[in-house]
Amino acid sequence: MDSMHLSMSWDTFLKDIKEMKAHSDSIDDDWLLNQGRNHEYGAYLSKKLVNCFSTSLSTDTPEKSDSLITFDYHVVYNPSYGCPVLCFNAWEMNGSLLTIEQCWKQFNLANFDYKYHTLTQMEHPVLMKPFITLHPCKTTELVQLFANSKNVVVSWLSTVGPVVGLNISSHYAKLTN
Amino acid sequence: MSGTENEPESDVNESSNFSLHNVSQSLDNDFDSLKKIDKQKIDILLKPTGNAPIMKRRKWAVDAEKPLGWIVEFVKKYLKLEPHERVFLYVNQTFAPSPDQIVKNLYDCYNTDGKLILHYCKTQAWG
Repeated sequence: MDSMHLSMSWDTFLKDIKEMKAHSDSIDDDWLLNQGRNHEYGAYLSKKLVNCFSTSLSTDTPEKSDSLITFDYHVVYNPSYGCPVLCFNAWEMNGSLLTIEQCWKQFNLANFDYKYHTLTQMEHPVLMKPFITLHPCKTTELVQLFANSKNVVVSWLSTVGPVVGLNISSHYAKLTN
Repeated sequence: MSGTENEPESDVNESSNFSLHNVSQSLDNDFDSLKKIDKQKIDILLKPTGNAPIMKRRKWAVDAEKPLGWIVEFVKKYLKLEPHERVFLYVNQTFAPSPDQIVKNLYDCYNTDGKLILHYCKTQAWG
């Protein structure tokens, strides 16, 4: 299958994230539109979310304790893959970053081999820092399902977000239809 | 003496027990009928999209209080998918509501002709 012509253009991505940001403002969701400096594909969305987890991530023992974890989700354009990418970093109350192993455990991937090509640490396309990234290989295949969507980024994000704990409010559905 | 006095007493007890039993039974019945009202079913239509296999039966009645994630698990089981394959459900073919959304809410927002139409697609994990 020729997936090249199905990739998403930067202009489409930019239009979609601007619409999403405008809608986020209207419903008091917390998405921020950021502009990377001196970067051709520098605009990206980000949102911080604090989640409470009852299982201990910091130790290997199954001992249970409550911990608050802050997730910083980014929606960025990846020019190499020609598609949007969802990545995040997460840290505990004491500021320590979650490792990739802890993230696999958190999102029930730890026991599967496919974890290595689902969630991996990659370079953020704009910030050039390591981020835990939902691997973009199959994204263009997924995106082509949304031929009818008026906002492909929202359609795609509503699909993949819950895989890494990011639920998209149904309010955004109207942007796609 | 005491026996004859006790007899009517026990009769009274029995009859009061009996009526209480009746009351509780009728309460149970009421409760059951209430539960039946709560257990409202919603008609959903499952349509494949992308390369998803078809389901022999497309129309299902689902408990209104079930979360969408429950239907996802059901479709995975029905299609006998491998653990590395994922199923996503869409409203309007374009938006995947979060798995904790209750079927009734989705029906209220997106029903067409008294049915909730959900498109399902299957993908490999991201690899």
